[in-house]
Amino acid sequence: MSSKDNREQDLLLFLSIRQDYVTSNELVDELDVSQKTIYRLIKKINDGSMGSPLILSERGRGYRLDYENFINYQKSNNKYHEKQFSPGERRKRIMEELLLSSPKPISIYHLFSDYYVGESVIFNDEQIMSKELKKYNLVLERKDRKLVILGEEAEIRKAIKHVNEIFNTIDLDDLKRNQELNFNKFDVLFILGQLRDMEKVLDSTIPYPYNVNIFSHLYILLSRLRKVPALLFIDKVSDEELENMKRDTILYAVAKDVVHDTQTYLNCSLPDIEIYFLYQYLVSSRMQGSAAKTSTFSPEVIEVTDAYIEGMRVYLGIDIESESIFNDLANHIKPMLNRLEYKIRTKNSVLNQIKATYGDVYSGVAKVSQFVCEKYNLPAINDDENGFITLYFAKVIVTGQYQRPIKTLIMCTTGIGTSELLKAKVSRKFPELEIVDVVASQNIQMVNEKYADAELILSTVQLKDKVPMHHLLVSAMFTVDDQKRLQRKIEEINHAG
Amino acid sequence: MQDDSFYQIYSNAALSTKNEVYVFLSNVARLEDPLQKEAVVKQLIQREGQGSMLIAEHVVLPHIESNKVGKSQIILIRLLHSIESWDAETKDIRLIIGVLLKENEDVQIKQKIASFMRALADEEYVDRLLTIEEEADFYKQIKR
Repeated sequence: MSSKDNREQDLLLFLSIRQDYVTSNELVDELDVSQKTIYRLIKKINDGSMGSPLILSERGRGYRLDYENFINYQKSNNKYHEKQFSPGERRKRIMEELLLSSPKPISIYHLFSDYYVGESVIFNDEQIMSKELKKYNLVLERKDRKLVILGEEAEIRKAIKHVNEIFNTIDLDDLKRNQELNFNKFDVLFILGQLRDMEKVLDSTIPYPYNVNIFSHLYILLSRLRKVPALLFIDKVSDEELENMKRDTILYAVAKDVVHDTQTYLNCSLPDIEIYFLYQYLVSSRMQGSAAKTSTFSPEVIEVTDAYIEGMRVYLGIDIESESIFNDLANHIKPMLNRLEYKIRTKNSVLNQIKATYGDVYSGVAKVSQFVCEKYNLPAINDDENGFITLYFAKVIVTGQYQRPIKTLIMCTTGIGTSELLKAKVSRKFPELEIVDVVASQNIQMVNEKYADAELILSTVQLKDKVPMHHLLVSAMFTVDDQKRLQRKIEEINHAG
Repeated sequence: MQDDSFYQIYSNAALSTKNEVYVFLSNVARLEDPLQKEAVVKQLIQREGQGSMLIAEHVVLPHIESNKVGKSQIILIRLLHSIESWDAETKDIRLIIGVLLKENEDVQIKQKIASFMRALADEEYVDRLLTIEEEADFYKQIKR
């Protein structure tokens, strides 16, 4: 059993013991893994549970185990050994083989013999694959009972990466031990060694998912070179871009070293364009550590980052302390702008989780992204990227960095009857309210003077006089309906703030 | 009926309308002037007009602060039969917790009332008050 399986079991066990909602922070502490790993583990467990999810999530509360499902759930570890392929899987496998061998043609007999399918199915598969390959500006050609994929090398590699989902979900820590993934063990060790060297030279960490991106890029490069030792490139890179790369002395040197090591490892020679390909990934990765700490941001990065913070401030209606998030976000935006330029798509494997948990924040980010693209004339920012950015703002909300408590007065006729009762109920349900006092409604004049900074009056009686602050009439029962109205009021106040 | 200086408890009270309850409250209240009963009933009705006094299912909390009240009291009334229609919105009332607060009351007494109110925020506590059979247990509960 791999460590990953253990983690899944640990997570399920922990949730089953707690029997209640557990925040992701608690899970991070308990399992000693990153927040992203938690998201991934939960997604994996839920994806594997068939039908309804095993782990339920609720915004603001965290995660909880669905017991009935959990009890019914029998984990089958044997799915890897099945030899049946769905039509979709069949096409993926064939397409991957063709991509890896491009521009070498492969006979149709060889490609399809394992799947026992007839001519019409093969013809149909060709149509579907052609359509898919078009997205990468690649063409599938048929000649003398052979198939071949033709196009630019960079596009071929992109297609390989996207066709094989494994590249989006691999866990580098797990890779060395997991036999079921069918990775070439020597290649894995070589690349992990290269990643370690890169981090050492750069004196920083390349975090998930960027490390996976670079890993995939190199792994695909090695796989390609095995199949097609002498690659013929039709890709063109402008001199200007090459000059730009060479000016970035640090990353350029790293890319050059890695390409050099790869040549030695495979005992073949590689064209200079490989340095540029790798450089694109490096400059599109987020680094953590001293290399990142220099934090000199270009004016564009600063402007885009500020635009996000300002846009989300307005959308969420909260005070975001710029200092608390700016550096983190700018360190993300900087490589993101490079990814956009180089059209590197980084798959966000927890995107659905993010949408489910932070739906509101996510829609806000999507809107701001659209605005940012138009204003700064950037290529469209895709959902995966929006998902990453969402996490930065979700963090601000979850850690409550933004929210000052709302100063609240509670009022009834006597100031100790229903209001005192209400105070007890409200403070239990709405910790974000700071209840400054409980007052009698006839003292409204005094209230205006003494509590000029109060923002909200919750009252069990109709207010006769006008008050300069927000107010809401609720019943002493503090029903679900009252609570919903109060929630909306709080949002209204935060938005106005 | 047991009389207590601060809490008064009446179980199995045969009252069938809101008005009867208010009159009952004004009768048992310690007023400055016994002739002011009607004025107290009026104040209770007035208070109700400003906002619902339902604090939990089956429980209402009529409360006033009044210069007519001579001594602050909390008066609990457990009804013999529930009042099906307290008003247009409020149905099936079984327990009435009347709070009569003297004007300019001492802080100490106010705090005592406030702490009882906070206890009422606990649904389980209210449930117990609603279901206790013995009068003695009733006292035990509210004097905790």
